[in-house]
This record gives sequence, structure tokens and C-alpha cells, in this order.
Amino acid sequence: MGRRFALALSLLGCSALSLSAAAQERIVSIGPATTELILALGGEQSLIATDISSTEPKNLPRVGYHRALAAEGILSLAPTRLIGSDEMGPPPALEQLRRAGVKVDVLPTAPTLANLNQRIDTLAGLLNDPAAGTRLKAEIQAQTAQLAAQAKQNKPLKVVFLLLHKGQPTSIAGGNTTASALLTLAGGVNPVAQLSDYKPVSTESLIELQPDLVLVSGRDWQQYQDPEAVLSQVPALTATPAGKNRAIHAIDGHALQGGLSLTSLQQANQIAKWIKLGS
Amino acid sequence: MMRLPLPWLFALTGGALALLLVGSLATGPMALSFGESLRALFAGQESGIAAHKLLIVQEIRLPRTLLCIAVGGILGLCGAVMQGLFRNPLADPGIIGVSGGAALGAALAIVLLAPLGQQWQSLLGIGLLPLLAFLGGALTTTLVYLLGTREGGTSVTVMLLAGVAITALSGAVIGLLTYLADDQMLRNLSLWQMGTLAAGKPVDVALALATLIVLLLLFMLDANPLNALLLGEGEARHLGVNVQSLKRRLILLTAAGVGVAVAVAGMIGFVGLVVPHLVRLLAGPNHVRLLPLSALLGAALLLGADMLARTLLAPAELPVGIITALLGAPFFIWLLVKGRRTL
Repeated sequence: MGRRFALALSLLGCSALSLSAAAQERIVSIGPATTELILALGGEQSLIATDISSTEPKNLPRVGYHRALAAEGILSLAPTRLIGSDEMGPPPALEQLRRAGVKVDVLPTAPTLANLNQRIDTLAGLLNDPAAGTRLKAEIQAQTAQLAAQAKQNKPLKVVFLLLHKGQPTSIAGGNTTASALLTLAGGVNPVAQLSDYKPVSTESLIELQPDLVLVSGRDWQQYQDPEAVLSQVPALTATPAGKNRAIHAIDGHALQGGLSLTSLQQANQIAKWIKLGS
Repeated sequence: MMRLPLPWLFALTGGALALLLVGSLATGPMALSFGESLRALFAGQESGIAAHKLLIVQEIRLPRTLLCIAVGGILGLCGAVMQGLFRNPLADPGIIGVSGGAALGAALAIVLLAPLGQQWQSLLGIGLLPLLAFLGGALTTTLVYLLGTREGGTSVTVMLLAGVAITALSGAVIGLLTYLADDQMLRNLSLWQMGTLAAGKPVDVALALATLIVLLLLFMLDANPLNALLLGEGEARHLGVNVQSLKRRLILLTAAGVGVAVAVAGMIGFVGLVVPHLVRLLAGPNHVRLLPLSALLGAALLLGADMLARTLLAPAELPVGIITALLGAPFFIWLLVKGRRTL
């Protein structure tokens, strides 16, 4: 968090001039990924509200769940612009906002770098600060280049991402998920890339996959920071290289919502370090 | 409980509904004064009132208020008819399987047909989800009716049990669908099951209001046969009531009514159960009074609940089904405790 704010602040200083134009906008940001980008682009002054999943900034009003927005509630904040992913809705509420003169910007979201760059461009344009966009993209470019360089030195380990929920079947991340995009960026190979979304996975197929590294997340992801806790919940993992080497790591699932984001890129860095440990 | 004279009852519930109607138009997260709201209701574009205020009152609050009245009225009315038909105070419109079936239809639309839904949005202005919810309700009700019917006629006891079984079956299939659903779908599904009156399009409002009026007229024609049925099926037959056709008619109409209500507003519980109870305590069991009063009170109750739903968490919004259950369930328990000796 601290680093992100530092970044946002430094960008804020650099772009104080162009910011004054954007400051007249009153923006409601929907979705943590969108909010995070707006903050990183120095748009905090224009933000007046976020949805319920955005964790920062803490002092702003929350307008509810991104799929069940209430038109009048949002209008009562007198916004000029509503920005969010293509998942926000319902469509009638968005239509009412448009007709009340609020500009509604829908950012198509996918777990790819190209999409992240595209979103940054669009947002920088909306915030009237293309220079901040260019800077942020350069920073991301540097990060991913570093990741790619590191990935070349490491062995291409088989990495799976599991979602653990007490009392529910374990799910595995398919190829089109943000989690899969991250582990690929970090130089890993997702052995179930042919699956889409999160799919329940059986004990047997988990053993058959023989992952070298297991990433886990879930509602109680903190408790999985201890590999033994994960092994006791998914005993089948003991029969895999990851289980034998205790190459099991927990990550915060919040960063995996809404496509690639700045936080999730930091996590790719972390995953790359774990892969390096295992190579 | 003390029974009030009939004109008083109609004046009280009608007055409460009128007050809530005006209140609902003047209440919302946007700070509009009472006078301003009412002026905006009747004002045109050139009246000098800001366009966004006109939009809020005319296109957000007004349709929503009308939808509340229509859906609440339908649920109260259908609840009264079901309790009369089953001669069981525990009956609610869901007892013939229509709610379970509608939920199953909605779950199918959300989980399996989500990609298809995108293309369907424009067709007829009615989405895939409401359509499937309605069809699901209609199909399960037909099934329950067929299960309860043999050559000797329809047994309400068998229907009641069949309704329970079919609802359980729908629940199981919904469970299977939830298992297959991803996180987004799960959240959509659970939000839908809590009900909302926020997304009412003009076509929904018109459909629901028309349904309420038609149902009220048709049910009123059957008010006296329903009274006869209170004495028992045999007695009703001796009084000249065609019991079999009465049952079929009431079940089909209720299924259609609840199907429409669920399709436009999702699942809203407890209105259909609590309202007829309350009316019976106040006005007695005569369906000539019970039916219109249940419609009035159902409308008033849902309107009040929705006013809470949209203001409690402003600028966000609570699903109205949560409020009706939170208010309805304790109230129902209070009724039970108070009326324990008379039930």
C-alpha cells in the first residue's frame, strides 16, 4: 500500500499542472483495479466515491456492489463521471446515470498486459494527464522486462493456483484467469491452461498434475501462509513435488479481481522469487 | 384482536398507502425537498427544474413506487387466495412451487445461459432472466397441479406435499448450479434471491400493474366461492360451487401472478404470508374484504420496506427481500404468540 501511495504522490507532484484541469471532474470509481489505477495516475483529488470492493482510499463513500449499483444513490453524490469495468451494472442504472448527464466510462477488462496498458491510456486520457499514463506504463514495462529476464534464468516450473474454501471443493485456476496470467508472467507454466475460469479439481487429478509450486488463496488466505495448514486441508498435495518441498505459498486474492493490476504485478514479482527458490 | 368496522379499515389501509406513496416519491438518497419532489413529478422539461431532478423523480422514484405497489399487491392478494384455497394459515404463494421454480429458472439464466443473456437484452425489452423465472414458476406449478390431480379431482393435501417436494427438487438443482457457478454468478444469484425493485423498467411496471388489476378483478369474482370453500370442499359443492374448476382457476392465476412478481422483482418473502394473516385478524375471514385489503396492505408494506431499503445504506442500497424478512418474520412470531389461543 505504502509504495503505491508513494508512487501516486510522486506522480501527483510531477503533474500538478495538468491535474488542475482534471480536478473539476467528480469521479465515482467502480472496482478495485480501476480505483488503484486512478490513484496511481494521480487522480485522487477527482475521486468522490468508490464501490464496496475498493479498499483504498478509505475515507470515501461506497456506492455498493459493482453489479448492483443504485442510480439515485450515485446521483446524490453529484458525480460528473462513473468509471468501471465491463462487469458493472445493472444496465438500467447505468442508462439512468447517462441520461442524468453523468459520463459513464466502461473499461473492457482482461488479464493481459496489453489490456492493462490500454486501461491506463484510457484513464490517463479521462484524467487529462497523458504524461502520467506514459510514466506508469514505462514503470510497468520495466517491471515486466525484469520479470521476463528473471524467468529466462529459472526452470519453467509447473505452477498451479488453488482456491481453498472450508467445506467447499478446491478450485484450480484455468488459463484465462488473472492468477494464471500472473504465474505465466513470473515464468511458471500453468498445466491446466486449457481450462477456463476456476474449476473444481479432484484429489486424483491434483496428484496427476504433479505441480512443482502451489499457490493458494481464499477467504482465509492468511492462515495458508503455513504450508502445513494447506497440506492438512488438501492432503493429496503431499504426493506432489510441491508438497514434498513445501513449495506452497499463499497470496492475497483481492489483487486477483478485475484483471491485471499494479498490486497483482507486484505479486508476479513475488511468485518469480518463489519459482527461483524452486529452480 | 379488536375488529374495526369495514369503512374504517379501507380508509386506514388506503390512507396509509396514499401517505406511503407520496412519501416514497419524496424519499431517496438525493436530498430533494418534499415540495420540490412533488413539483418535479408533474413538471415538464421547460419548468426550470434541473433535468437530473426530473429524471430522479419521474424515471427512478415513480416507476419504483408503482412497481412496489403492484408487486406488494400481487403478493398480498395471492397469499390470501392460497391461504383460502389450502384452508391453511401457513400457506404462502410459494407453496404451489412457483417461487422454487422461478428461482430455478433464474439460476439457469444466470449460470448456464449467461452468454446468451447478452443478446437477449433487447428482445421485447424483457430479459432472459425474468422470462426464464416466469417459465420456471409456471412449469413447476403445472407439475404440482398435475401431481395433485387424479380422476376424482385435485387433492389440496397432495398438492401441498407435491409443492414441498418440487421446491426441494428445485433447491437441489439450484445447488448443483451454484456448484458450477463462478464467483460472479454466485453473487448475482444470491442478490437476485434477495429481491430488488430498483431495476424496474416501464414495461415491467406496466406488466405488474396490469397483472394486479386483472388478478384483483378475477379473484373478486371468486370471493364468495372461496368463502364457501372455508366450510370444506363437500359443503362448498353442496352450495353449488364447482370446486374443481375453482381450484384450477385459482392455482393458475396465482402462479401467473407470483410468476410476474418474481420475474420483475426477484424473490421477496413474507409479504404473501404475513399480510393476509394481519388482514384476517383485523377484518375477519370474509374474502370479499380479505382480498382487496390484502392487496392494499401488501402494497403499503412493500412500499414501506423499499423506502428503508433505498435509504438505510445510501448511497448504496439493500435488497428489499432482506427488509421484508427482517420485519416480517418477527412480526409473524408476534402474531403467533398473541393469537396462540385462537389459531
